[in-house]
Amino acid sequence: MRIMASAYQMGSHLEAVEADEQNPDRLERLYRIDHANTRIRRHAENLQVLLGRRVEDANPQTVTLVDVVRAASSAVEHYARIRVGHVVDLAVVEFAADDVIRVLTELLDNATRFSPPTAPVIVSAFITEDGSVLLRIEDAGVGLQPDHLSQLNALLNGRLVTPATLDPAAHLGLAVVAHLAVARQLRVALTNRPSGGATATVLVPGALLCEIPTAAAPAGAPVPPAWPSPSAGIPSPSPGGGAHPWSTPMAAPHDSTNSPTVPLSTLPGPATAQQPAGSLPQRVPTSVRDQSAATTRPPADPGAGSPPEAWPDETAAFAAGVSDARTTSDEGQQR
Amino acid sequence: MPMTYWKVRPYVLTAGRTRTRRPLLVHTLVSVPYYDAVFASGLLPETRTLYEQARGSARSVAELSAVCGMSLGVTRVVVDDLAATDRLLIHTDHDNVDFRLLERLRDGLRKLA
Repeated sequence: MRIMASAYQMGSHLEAVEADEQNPDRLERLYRIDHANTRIRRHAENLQVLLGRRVEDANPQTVTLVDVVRAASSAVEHYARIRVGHVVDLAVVEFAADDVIRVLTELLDNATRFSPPTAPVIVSAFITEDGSVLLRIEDAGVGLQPDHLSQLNALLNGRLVTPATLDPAAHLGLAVVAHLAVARQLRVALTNRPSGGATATVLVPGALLCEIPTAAAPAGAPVPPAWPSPSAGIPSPSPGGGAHPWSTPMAAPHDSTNSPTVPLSTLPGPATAQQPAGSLPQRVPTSVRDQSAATTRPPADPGAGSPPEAWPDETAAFAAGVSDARTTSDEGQQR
Repeated sequence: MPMTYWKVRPYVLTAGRTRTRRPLLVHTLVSVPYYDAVFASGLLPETRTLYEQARGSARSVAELSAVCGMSLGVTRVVVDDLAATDRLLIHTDHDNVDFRLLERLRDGLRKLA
């Protein structure tokens, strides 16, 4: 538990240092430290699983399958040999994402460990007829002995196998996989390919899948998260103080699990209402700009040189000018 | 800004590589010579964002790093990989530096100082 907490902490520190590092040599060494730390985290989490405890996820979120694959690769020793093949555009729901990552990590670890050090291990994800997703890990190793294979598959299916030939210490990873597979109703299987090498498959049931949240789409458009909060300055028609009628439609399109927008829109109004008035029109979408210009002006706004009636026109013109300037030159001065 | 899940460590995005074939500074400009939508659809999310961002006009490496939510070290390698297959054009620094403009700017600044 403590090891996990320390590893999490170290990970976030490392991330900050990695982001600043310009020197390739030092960055490479940082990557190695990060990689070792990630593996420490993985083993600490696996111990929790084997002890039958739930691994607490500090920040559960829906994870796309591409990121599931890459997060799993992050904790594998020979991660550089893992190639991401075709991966379907779906995501794993937040409560199961971590477990799927752990299962995939152990299978990838096996695949990379028991295949030639130069051969790639290919991982891909396909959608099946009944809406589940099949994750497939293909290695170019020598494959497994038939009797050993059947034992391992029995273990992975949750059946208790304790023959003398199966050394529990050598199959810690698969024990973790078996445990999580039963808990999450994943179907894990190992097969030999006639052409050589082994394939591991994980069938993730449709109940654990969802579409990729739209907030994660590469839109790049700046969202106006802080904007609805100045509603405190408006003579508000809403009965409740907290939820303003048009602060919710702005926050709703973003995925509620991707929380950054939600706390911002529920910020106490006065904190942002004290911002200089000129900074407000910058991120207001065109569709609501006129409305905001007409209503967001508190009469007691400091620095109001002109009469309050003149304000809406001035701010609307200002906002229009800003948006014009933005469309003509991306890098130009905005104010 | 698309954010990569925190468990996806930066070294995975570059397979552990940190060096680039060509020097890439923060202000080095890159652009997409011809945009290929099929190629873009086969890219990993961050790479695809980068490829699409550099498509309109030349963007600097620092800019792309910010837009794609990747650290500079990762962005460099991704840009370098795309450039190695001629999907991305790296503008060498002297291409679009107008020395006369810079000299005039310097002289103007000196006058101000």
